[in-house]
Amino acid sequence: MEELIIVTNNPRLQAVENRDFRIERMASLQQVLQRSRDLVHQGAKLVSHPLAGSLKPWQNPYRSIGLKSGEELDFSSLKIMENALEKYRIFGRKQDVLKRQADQMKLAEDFSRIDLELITNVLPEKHSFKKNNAVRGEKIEAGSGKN
Amino acid sequence: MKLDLERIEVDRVVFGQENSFADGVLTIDKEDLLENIRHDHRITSLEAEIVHPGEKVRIMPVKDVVEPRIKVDKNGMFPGFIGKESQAGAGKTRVFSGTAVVTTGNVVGFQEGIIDMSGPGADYTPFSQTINVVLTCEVEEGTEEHIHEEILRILGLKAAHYIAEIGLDVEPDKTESFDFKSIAQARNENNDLPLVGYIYMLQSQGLLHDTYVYGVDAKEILPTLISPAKVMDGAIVSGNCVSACDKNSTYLHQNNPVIEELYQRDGQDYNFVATIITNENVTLGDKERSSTMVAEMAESLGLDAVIINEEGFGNPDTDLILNCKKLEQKGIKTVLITDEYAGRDGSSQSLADAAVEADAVVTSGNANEVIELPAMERVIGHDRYADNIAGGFEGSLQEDGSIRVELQAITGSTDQMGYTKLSAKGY
Repeated sequence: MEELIIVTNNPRLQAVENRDFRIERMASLQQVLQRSRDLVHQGAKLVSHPLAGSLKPWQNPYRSIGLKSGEELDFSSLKIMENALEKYRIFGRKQDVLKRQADQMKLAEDFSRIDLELITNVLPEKHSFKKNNAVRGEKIEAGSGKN
Repeated sequence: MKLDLERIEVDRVVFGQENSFADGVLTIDKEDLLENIRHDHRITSLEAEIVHPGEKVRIMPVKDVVEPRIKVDKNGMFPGFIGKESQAGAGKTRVFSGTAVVTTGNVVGFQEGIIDMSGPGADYTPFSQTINVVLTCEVEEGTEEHIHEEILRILGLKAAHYIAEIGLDVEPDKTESFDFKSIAQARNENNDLPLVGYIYMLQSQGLLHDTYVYGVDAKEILPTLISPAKVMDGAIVSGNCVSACDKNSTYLHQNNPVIEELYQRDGQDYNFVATIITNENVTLGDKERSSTMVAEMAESLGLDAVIINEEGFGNPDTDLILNCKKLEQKGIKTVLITDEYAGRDGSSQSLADAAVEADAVVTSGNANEVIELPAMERVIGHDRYADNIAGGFEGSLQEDGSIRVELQAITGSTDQMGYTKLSAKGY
């Protein structure tokens, strides 16, 4: 059976548990990209795009990528993942610095909120965090990295 | 549908006791303006200031820019928000040319959007050349980001409409008429010119990356035809406040240069048949559906060629390339307009996606280029943001108060509809 997999380093998704999709938690953005690429090699297909919306490339230290498990290598997903990793190689070198500065500037909450909003698009309707205040308010905010 | 843009040229804007316009001077009753546009109980403070080109002023973080426009019969501007849904795109529209309403607001902490009214930064934004009525608005603590964005969005539209209303009693300086042909007329022109369309991509990725069409969130639309005249009447409104350099402010939609240029040369170099709006959503399924429908719509209209512009970068590059590939595969030639993220020295790959079919591309500048912005005498906007950008990334704050930023931070600097002076030349 096809399974929805969310690969993420977004702290807002740390405490989310459910039976409709699997969350793979990573420690860094680089790990999120590499793990997603590896899953594609194992037959998974991208559901969401690995690049963020229109923020500066890699400005957002948090990323969640949606994939569907499968049997055959999907070349279009692989190409998109390789392009994203290439962009990371160009712009992501300062990731650690950017993340530290984001923490210092107390921006982590805003960045993780934006990432959550993007990934919400790929989840089944009942997991729409936007509409489900209980989930967002009680569980996710707790791990949001807010100082 | 024929639309007359009746332009009043403005030399100066001042606040005064009552609203009036005489000898190029627009006078606004500030208290009345603020009272009329204050539309939500969550607004805790609201201030308006006027800045003219050349002043040593920095505005940031800019949320949206809107041109003061109103229908002469008062119905139809910004349909879905202010105007009636059935009225836009025909009749007479009154415009205060050379002016703009600029909204500021710290919706998220990393937000950018700088307008310098003088100095080197002024050369990079079209809004250093407009006389700006700048609205600084604070909302209640705890207001959700998307509500905050909506409050500011509507505030800008209301202010632009309020100011434009002052022009209803004024004799316009000039009138530009736009009489866009119907699809049938354009196709039946008795000439051998190619049939050309415009694929108008709208940012629609969710919170702070949204665009509205007739008040409808563009991520919920399927690609559709829109009358260019309706775009001039504010049918497309920006809800996008994160990507400063290449977000299409509402002002830029109202003044879309691709549409104006396509109209000017219609019947001479080509027949301008149709404008198709489409979105840039998050999921790959959405991207496939929208690009397929765009290509099929263009094919069924019998188009020979299209101009496509995207809004934003990164993930939307995939929408741009999908549109390009699917159209080219149907034999429809494409010209793309996009900016570049090619690294500070311009040598890296410019887009996050590519295709051999994308062989005609116009660039609107490299957003990674770094420039130095000297200190200004006055900053209008939000102090918290000023702290962030000043102390922000990689020591951008210099000792004398100047800041080093990439062009990304400057509002409209690499606009992908071409409302910018930046491009590239081959040598």
